[in-house]
Amino acid sequence: MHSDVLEQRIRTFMQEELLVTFDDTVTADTDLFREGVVESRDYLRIIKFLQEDIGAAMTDEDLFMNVLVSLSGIVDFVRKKQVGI
Amino acid sequence: MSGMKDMTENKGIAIVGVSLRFPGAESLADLWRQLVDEQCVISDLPAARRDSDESFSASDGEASRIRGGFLADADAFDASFFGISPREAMYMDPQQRFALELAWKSVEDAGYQAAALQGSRTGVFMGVANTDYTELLEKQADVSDACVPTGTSSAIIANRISYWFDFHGPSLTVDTACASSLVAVHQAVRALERGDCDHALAGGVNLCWSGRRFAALRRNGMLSDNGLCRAFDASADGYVRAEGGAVIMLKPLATALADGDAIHAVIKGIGTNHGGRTNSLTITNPQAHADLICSVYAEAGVAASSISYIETHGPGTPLGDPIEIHGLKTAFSRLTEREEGGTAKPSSCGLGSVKTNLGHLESAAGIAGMLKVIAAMEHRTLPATLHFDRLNPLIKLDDSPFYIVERTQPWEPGRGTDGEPLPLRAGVSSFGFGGTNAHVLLEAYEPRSGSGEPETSAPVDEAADVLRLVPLSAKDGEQLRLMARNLLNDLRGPEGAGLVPAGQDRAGPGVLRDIAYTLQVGREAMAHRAVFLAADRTDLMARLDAFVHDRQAPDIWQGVVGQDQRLSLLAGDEDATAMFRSWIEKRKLAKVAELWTLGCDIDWNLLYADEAPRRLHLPAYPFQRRKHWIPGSSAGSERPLRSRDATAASGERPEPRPSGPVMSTAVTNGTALQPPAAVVSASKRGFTAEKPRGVQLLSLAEADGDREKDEVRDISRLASRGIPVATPTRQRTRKAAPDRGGRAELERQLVQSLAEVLYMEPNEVGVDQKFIDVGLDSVIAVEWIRAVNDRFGAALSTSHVYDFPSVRALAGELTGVYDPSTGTAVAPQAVLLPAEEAVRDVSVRHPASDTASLEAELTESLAEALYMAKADVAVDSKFVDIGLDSIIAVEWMNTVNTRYGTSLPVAAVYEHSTIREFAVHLAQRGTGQKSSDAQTSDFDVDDVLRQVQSGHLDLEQAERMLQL
Repeated sequence: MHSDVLEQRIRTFMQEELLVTFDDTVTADTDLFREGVVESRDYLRIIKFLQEDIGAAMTDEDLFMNVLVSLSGIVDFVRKKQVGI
Repeated sequence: MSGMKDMTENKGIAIVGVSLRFPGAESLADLWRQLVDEQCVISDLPAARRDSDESFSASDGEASRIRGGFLADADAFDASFFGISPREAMYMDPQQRFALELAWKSVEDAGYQAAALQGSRTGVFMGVANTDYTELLEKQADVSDACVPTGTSSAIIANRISYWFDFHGPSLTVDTACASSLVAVHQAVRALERGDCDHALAGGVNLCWSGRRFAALRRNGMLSDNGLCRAFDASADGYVRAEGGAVIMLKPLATALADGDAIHAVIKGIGTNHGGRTNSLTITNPQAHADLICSVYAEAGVAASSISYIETHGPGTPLGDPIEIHGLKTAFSRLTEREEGGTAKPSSCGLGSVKTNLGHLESAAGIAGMLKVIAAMEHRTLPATLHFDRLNPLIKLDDSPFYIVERTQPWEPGRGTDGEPLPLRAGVSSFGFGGTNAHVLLEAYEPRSGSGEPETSAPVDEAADVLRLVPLSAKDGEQLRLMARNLLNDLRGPEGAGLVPAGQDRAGPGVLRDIAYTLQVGREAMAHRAVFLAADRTDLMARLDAFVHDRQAPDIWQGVVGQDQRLSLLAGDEDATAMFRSWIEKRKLAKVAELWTLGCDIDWNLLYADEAPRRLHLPAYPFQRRKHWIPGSSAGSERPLRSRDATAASGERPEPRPSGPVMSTAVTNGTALQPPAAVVSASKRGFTAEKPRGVQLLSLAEADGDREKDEVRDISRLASRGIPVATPTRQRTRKAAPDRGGRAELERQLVQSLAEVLYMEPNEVGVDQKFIDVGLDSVIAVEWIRAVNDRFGAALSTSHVYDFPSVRALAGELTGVYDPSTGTAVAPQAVLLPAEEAVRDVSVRHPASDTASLEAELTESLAEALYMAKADVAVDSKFVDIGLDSIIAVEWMNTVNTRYGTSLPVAAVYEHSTIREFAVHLAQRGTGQKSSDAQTSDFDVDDVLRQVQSGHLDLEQAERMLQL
């Protein structure tokens, strides 16, 4: 999947499912948990989306050793995963 | 060889004393009852707090959404027990007060007298993170009070304990957020291992009062919306805050065994690290958790497979819980790979979180987890983790030794490779939201037979019939009765199965001896005393029951020390001492009992020449719950928060009304109490009266910084007591060389004095503003009108403030009555008297020669300085015992010097350390005369004798000079 397309899909998911509005203050690099934009209980939904819709295989290490907190972080992670595959 | 084994097995740090104050629990027994009853003590914000902080109402209905574990009387403190003035107490962070009371209880739980540890190398390590009281003080009070710098310092939480108990080991307060208390324990353990101290007190304290902090934590998504901690559950939605604290007393296991201590549990290993850089400051690093756990267990030489329970950090956050479990799984799989067998047995290690019962005690959370485990070990029972229904889908327990302790169950120990049961072992984790991790490995203490340890001293021939004296003492009669009741309840034991700790069987053989011994040598002897003679436990319970219910019963002696001055006849007399000793050795117990209740020191150890009694964990002192809070901040008051008179604000005026803002609702377990008597005036005093010996060392510069302000307040206080001292306008008065009788000047002075009684700035009081609008209520009005009358020689009544409701109107009334142009008016002159002249005038009225009236005046002004009731300041109380520290002493000495025209140094309060002594000293200074006693002391006895020897004096002359 082309990374622009990938980013757009994840961005759309976050906007539609998690009601995140990206703007000047909330950017792709914003730590969404710390800013209170996304609550930690939504992490499970993000993970499910990445696993089921994007098809990124994730181990427990992936889930917890490197908790994904920003849009760009998630995109980078998935891209690495895909390269790895 | 077996000696070697003993040495390795005696490695570790023993927990010999514990104390706690959690929501709804004041002792380990209380906590255990909550745990086995599977209680959740989370509640709504107490109604009384809603109006105590404006941010509760300001933050959008925050108050109604707040749920937490709250202490019922977090604002209460037994200040007089510790010789702390009400004034200092109200500026002390409640976290300091919790810590001080908990330290006392922890030492008592260990079965030690505080005096026995005085001067010892005891370390103090306290965890704290919140500063709610500082925030409230800044919003609501006069933060320039001289007591504020120490009262709000986190360092003082540990340091005040060391100071008060006279401990000389390291003393430090640790802040690693929610890991604070466990890191404090870590510091204590390391200090003991390194030999930096011989004993240590460690723990944490937490107060959750600020509405702002609740709101901020909610905003960043940390707090649970449904107000329940559902650790590990799929519906977990955040943590629930809770307050309280706990302190444990530690010493090396080998020392504890040698000292015959009662041991709650043993710390086999402990460690702390940080997760380094994660994707977000508050996201923990499970790799670091795993590393920490592996290193703690490896260093302790304990196999992971022998650990049968982990008290997790388990805050009930949807992401934090899975991360923690992942870290645990990583650690255990890494450890078990190296162990024999190589695979972990499924469901061999329970996971739980006490936060589901109490909420998250933040800086005291780790120590709360430890206390749960200690209680569970003593009862060999794993209490259920509450609100658990369905596992968080991010948590996978397959392929791990873990299971969630969903229901209360017997605690099965792990087994060694030989199949033998091992001691119960558990790990406790605590993580801070800044990335600090801490983990401790606890082991149940199980005395081993044949190892030359406690059993040998156990049930000596206690086939009953050996009479024992069981003493109790307290600062006042009501506390004494409470102690008897608490001991009785402890002996009865809780109803229901599984509640009696295995190691604390109150009915076992030898127990009466150990109870007697512990209460004889392990408690301070205070003024109100009762002693019970009993042959067995049932006997003792019957006596206690009679005492508690005021029934006549034999073999009970009671007394209040200091009632009979004739006892001093015996004090220090060698024949008397020999007789006492003989009575004790011959076990003339009734006589010994009588002596003790009269106030004599008893060397109880003489009773145990042929026995080796043990210390037990018995109920600790029941402190009075007396409210001390920010001046003027009481809930529900219409009055401006800045006003100083909290007494009035609370609507409760104690009689006699102390002049300062004393909150004096004393309640112990719902019983209203009299104000504490000046027990420290007892002729024979225990540790609490003798300590602190020195003064609190604060730089004078610090005190000086506030002196001017304090003088201002003092003078206004004096004015309010009917003494015509000019309000502090001296500089301006001097400069202005004012227009005598000027109406404007009168108004200005009224504004100034009104501002002072209201704790406002003069520019905040307009001459045309209605009194009611600036916050003058009836109570302050009384005080102010009295000051105005004294000042201007007027005779206004309080109702004048209603008839003439502004400064301008009242000034008109004043000048109307006392028109200076008529020449009859004294007032305008008084108005413009420079302060110094007014003071001189006062000192003329106080020739300072009559010591009785001096005593009365000094008592009054000291009571004012300390915000105490006059009745609580006894003329023979040592100043240090009633809370006069160096800061307040500076202020009080200013008052005294101003009033009597003297220039006594602050040090005078140490040289003449009671009102009685001080009054004599002052009388001599004030009149410029020396008493004949003083003249005598001017002669050097040695010098006189030398002169006699050399023939310069004859004996008759010498005798006259020495007044022999």
